[in-house]
Amino acid sequence: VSVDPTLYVLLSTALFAIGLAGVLTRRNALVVLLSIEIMLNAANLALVAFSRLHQNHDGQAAAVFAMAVAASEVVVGLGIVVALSNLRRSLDTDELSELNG
Amino acid sequence: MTDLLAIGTILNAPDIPASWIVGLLFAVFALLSLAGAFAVVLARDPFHSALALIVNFAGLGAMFLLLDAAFVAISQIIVYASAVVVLFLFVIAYLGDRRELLHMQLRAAAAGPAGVVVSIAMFLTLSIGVVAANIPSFRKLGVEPSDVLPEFHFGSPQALGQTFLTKYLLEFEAISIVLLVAAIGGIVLGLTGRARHKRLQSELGVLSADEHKRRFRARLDAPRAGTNVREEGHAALHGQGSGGAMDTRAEVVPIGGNGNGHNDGADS
Repeated sequence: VSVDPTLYVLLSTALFAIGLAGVLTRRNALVVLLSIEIMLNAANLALVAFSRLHQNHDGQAAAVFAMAVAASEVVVGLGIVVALSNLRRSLDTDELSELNG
Repeated sequence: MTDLLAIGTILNAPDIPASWIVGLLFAVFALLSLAGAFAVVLARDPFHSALALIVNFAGLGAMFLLLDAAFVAISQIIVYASAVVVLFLFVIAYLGDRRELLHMQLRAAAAGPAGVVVSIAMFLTLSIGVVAANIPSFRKLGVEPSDVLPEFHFGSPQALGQTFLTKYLLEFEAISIVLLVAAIGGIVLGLTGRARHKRLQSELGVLSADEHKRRFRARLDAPRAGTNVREEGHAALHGQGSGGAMDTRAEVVPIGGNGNGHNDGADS
């Protein structure tokens, strides 16, 4: 059995769907951030798989860029989580509705 | 030049008969990363979720090695499995008292069943698209001429460095600005100075427990004169603005405290 790019991309879609389920169903803001990390990594896996398929470094470069953006997103997201917990003592995403117009 | 970084190339070479090793490694690490992802979503304790994320990231790092992306794999381990997860663990530890977080999980999420249905539909849609796309296998496409200098291994740090500093130089510089802005944003969000705290609280209409205590003591100590009225008016304004749990507590405390007079100023 040869490992085809299709298998890698299928694994990537599965991970993406799991992360999406976490974002949609969990109420804890921290776990929502963790699930977003899973989704970003799933996209990275597809990028790297296609990079290997075409023997071209563009996909890997995009994956590294995605990593840098994800690291920034984690810093800002965790800063927001800490500020929220200082203000409200609650991280329930269903109760955070200050920006609800 | 055959080093450890080229393990994917070695294992994926078409002339090696034992290419089932690749299949075995793929299966193991695919199951590992899937199990990690499921554990992140299903774990009740956020601490366990963060630990399960390490398993997921490690499995994906091995996937990147199998895909000849040595630099991406190492970055994955260093940036994600180390830095990001440690940051998450620090924040979870800093927030402390997880009982409230655990209690929160006991209630079903508002969009629970719908979210599961949507993600299953997303998975089916994406996988049907991937299978229908009929992606060629690694061997059929063959090896195209590389886009970097020929002496650089595919996926090695040298090759990616050349890609970053020639083709993607502008993006490379832009991402440094993004990182800088994120660092500044993290500092600003993490500020706990009194001035910033007060401003945020007045904007959101939410008072911290310390602020409630301070106002309560100020009201007790103040003579029953003009300042008292002003404070009550202020509190009423906030109570009207947001019906949070903090505000109901603010209404309860003064009623119990007024009967005992000034001695309540000493309790904690």
